[in-house]
Amino acid sequence: MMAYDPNDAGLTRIIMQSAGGWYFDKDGNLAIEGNVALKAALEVIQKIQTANIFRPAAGWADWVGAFTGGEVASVTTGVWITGTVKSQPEQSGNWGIAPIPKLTIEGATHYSNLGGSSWYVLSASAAKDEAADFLNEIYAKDVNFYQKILVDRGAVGSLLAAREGEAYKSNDAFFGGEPIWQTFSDWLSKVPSVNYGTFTNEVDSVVAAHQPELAKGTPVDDVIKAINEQAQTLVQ
Amino acid sequence: MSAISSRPPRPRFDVNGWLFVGPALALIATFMVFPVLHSLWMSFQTGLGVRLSFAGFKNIYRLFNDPLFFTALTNTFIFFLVQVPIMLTLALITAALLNSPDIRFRGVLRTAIFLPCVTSLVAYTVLFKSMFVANGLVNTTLIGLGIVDVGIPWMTDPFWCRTMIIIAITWRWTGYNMIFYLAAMQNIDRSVYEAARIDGVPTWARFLHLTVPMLKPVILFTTVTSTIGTLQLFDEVSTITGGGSAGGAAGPGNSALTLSLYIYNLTFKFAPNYGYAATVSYVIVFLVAILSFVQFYVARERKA
Repeated sequence: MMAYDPNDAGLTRIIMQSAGGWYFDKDGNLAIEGNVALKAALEVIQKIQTANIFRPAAGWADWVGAFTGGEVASVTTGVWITGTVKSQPEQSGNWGIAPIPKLTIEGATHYSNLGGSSWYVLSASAAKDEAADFLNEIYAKDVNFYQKILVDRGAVGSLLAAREGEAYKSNDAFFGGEPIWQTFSDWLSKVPSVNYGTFTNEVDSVVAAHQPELAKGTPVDDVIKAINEQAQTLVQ
Repeated sequence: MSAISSRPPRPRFDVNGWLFVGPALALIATFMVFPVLHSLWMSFQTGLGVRLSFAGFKNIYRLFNDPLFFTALTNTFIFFLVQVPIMLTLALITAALLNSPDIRFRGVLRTAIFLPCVTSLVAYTVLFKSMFVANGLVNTTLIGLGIVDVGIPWMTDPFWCRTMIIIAITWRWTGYNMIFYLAAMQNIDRSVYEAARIDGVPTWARFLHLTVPMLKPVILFTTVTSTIGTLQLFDEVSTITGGGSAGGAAGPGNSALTLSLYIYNLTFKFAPNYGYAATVSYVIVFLVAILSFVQFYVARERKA
């Protein structure tokens, strides 16, 4: 069982991206109708909701409380949740990591992404070259830096070379002594890449608003049609 | 009398007077008049972030074709039409009860009912949220008392989500309006009630035909301020339904998306479109103006 907030489309995005889909196509155009990955994701969401196999959560704090309080035994989200899971020392050894289930459509994988942050250098910045150089030297090359932020801050970087460092090779007793960072970085390289576009939050709020309809048994195709209509006015 | 009329006429431009009001006028012009005019100018522009360009009536066209705007408008009116009458009736009844000299501990009760008004909007909504979650205090109590068998879906059903928000706002603002009614009731001459009592008018009729008509100006005032407050409803819906990840809906099926929350989303949550957000904010301005006018018109003194 897992905690699930029907007003949040995070899980929908995880499932959708695992099959290489997003709300937008590779060129950043809205792609709701005819989106095989989105449809498959919403079908899974409908199954979860109608089978009532989740602990309803309302917002972040309630959702986190469900697994830190031991009410549910699984959590499906980004790797950054590791720190929150480990905030309960008495649960040490009870946790393990597993890849997400795979959809049965073309291009489906066991790997996806949720959240995280990006670095940008503004082209109008006076210190543009210095900023780019800093990011290049530290974030794109410095393997030791990634070991330090992982150990000190629990921050996981997306630089694949970081896996060669000491910290990334360590086993974690909290997760049954598994080499979790090596596993995560294996999965990282297999996450399908998508174009998030400019309007992800806009479309996401529309998708989230329509998820309760799925619980009532409204056909997925009808829901997708309604999402498409609302999303079009927001994407401009 | 002659001393006053023999004074020289006052000059049209009094330097001292303008010096006194000058600083205040400068501040009002900078922080009030300019932003209002600038937002009006912005509502005719469109674009993302600071890259705005003149769009004429394009934003107004978008407004009439925006299903989310109509969702927000409908929700705002549901909150306004349901919550304001409930709250003002409750405030009037509690004020009448607490004005009665027969009730003991009046001071304590008045303070208790007014106390929610001093709580911070965010603090009380966070508490309400934790009380109304699936396995929170409210559902546990209702199940424990045998009133319901399964928990009420406060956070996952549009109807119950709106109900919860109306309960929260009513708790927070009833005492505030009650104070106005109490103050006004204490200004009513007691002899009016004595005369009515001698004529055999029952208590409920004294309340309905004496107290309420005499409170008319205050009722009008509280109706207008509550209308404005409800049309601008933001803190409660934002705190109760937000707090999730970056995306997400404003309550189940966007059932708690108010106009103010939509303006916030357009400006800060979505790719910022200040121009369109300004257009939506002028909708609130027009609604407040029209509704206040209607309320003044309905409550006007009729000359027989």
